[in-house]
Amino acid sequence: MGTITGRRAAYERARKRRSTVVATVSSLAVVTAIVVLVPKMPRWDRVHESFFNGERFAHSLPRLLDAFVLDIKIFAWSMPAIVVLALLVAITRNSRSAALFPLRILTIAYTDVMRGVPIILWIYLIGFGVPGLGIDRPWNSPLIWGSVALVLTYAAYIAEVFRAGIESVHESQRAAARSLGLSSWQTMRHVVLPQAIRRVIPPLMNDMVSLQKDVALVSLIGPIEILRQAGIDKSKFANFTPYIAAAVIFLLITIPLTRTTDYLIERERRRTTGTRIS
Amino acid sequence: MSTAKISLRGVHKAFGANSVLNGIDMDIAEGTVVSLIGPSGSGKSTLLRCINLLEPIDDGEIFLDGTDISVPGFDANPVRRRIGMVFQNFNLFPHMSVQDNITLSPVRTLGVNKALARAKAAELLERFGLADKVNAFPDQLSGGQQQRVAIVRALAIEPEVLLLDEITSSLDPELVGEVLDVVRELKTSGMTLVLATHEMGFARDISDLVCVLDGGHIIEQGLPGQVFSAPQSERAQQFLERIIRAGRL
Repeated sequence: MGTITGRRAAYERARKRRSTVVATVSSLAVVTAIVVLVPKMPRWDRVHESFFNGERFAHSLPRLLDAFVLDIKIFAWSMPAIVVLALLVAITRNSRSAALFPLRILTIAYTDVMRGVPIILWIYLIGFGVPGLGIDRPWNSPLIWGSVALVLTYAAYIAEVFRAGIESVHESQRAAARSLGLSSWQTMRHVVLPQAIRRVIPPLMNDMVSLQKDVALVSLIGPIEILRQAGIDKSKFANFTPYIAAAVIFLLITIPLTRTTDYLIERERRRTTGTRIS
Repeated sequence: MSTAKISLRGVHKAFGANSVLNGIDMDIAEGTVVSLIGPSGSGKSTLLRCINLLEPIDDGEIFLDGTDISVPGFDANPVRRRIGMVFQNFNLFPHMSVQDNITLSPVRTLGVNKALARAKAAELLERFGLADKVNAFPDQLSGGQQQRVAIVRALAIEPEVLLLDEITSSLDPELVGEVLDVVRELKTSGMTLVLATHEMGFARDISDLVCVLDGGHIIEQGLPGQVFSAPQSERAQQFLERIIRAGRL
């Protein structure tokens, strides 16, 4: 960064001032419109009462936070399983050994089938179907099989992210590693994967944000996690405020995660592509 | 078999319909320096990659100390530890420090203990004037430094032969000298070297044997004095004339 000449600096200052003014005025206008206009709608009183009821909010929040612990648990045990399975699938699919050909076909079929059907269907099919085979307690828990469904579907998506990362590592890196006598697995393990994983961390974080929300889908087959708890509270008091409370709790987790992802993407961009063009 | 360190007999290689090597015969004696010169696309790099078994050949044989290493299914990894290779674009591992780049193969493939491998790396870096770069990462080094590290990395597995694939072609002109000095030092130490190069003056000075490739054939081979001053074949004469006109010799 060299020194900016006085004329340049003055121009940059003026431009910055102008954009700040534009941003402030337009934001204020939007917020005012919402705050002033929405309460003027004919049924606002009813909506306010059934969605933004302070008493119901305060009553539900602690119960929802308790239920949210289950969401975090499902997330916590699913995520490592997803990453491990996805890595295995991606590595198998990228392997060049002829002996692994049948496994490669299997992984292609797996990613196609899992990604081609809505997650919700897999949760129903695996969550109800597998325990229906007559497995004994505690292994017939919908909690287990719902999580398995999440792991299987998410691993299929994330395997593709890893695969893109692996393929983005230039062939010359493999050539260098092999010329040093490293085996094909050692090349993958020490040269390709470390570079691939570093590159896909931002998109991976993005999928983690999605997973964090999709955990709530497991509630469809029984477990009482936050979404289901909110449904129970809603029915008990015929009031939708618990859903708003649940949304707020989700946002408390997902917004910091998303911001972190953006930060990582920006850092990667700066590291790899240099100066930003305005 | 002959007593050559490496012998090529009728080596053919094609990529799809594009045939790159069309019957290469060559003997590389132990402790000698062999230069491959010729226009771009003549097959120099492919030949080196074939010797390193990075590319399987379609026909012919490649012998290392009299053993045919080109037999399909031959275990390439031990062969590659005996034949090191350095690439045009350095190909250092960007996620590893200089030290880790150098010790990766000795530790993982030869089972050398880590402390020993590091001591050896330090010694090699010292020898090539890179002692202060041991903890640097590749992107913190100049092109010339990166290429010297790549040479050290190849030397760390103590190969018997070193293949140098246009190792100065992507360097700024003022950085070429430091890399060529390393090659001269290697020659002095008695290492068998095979280099594909566009540095004609250097090839003339350092080589024991010069091979001119064109269209996947060796069109001329002999002592550097003979090849550069009195080439026998017409195509070799034309190639060298173009080089001289361009001021590269």
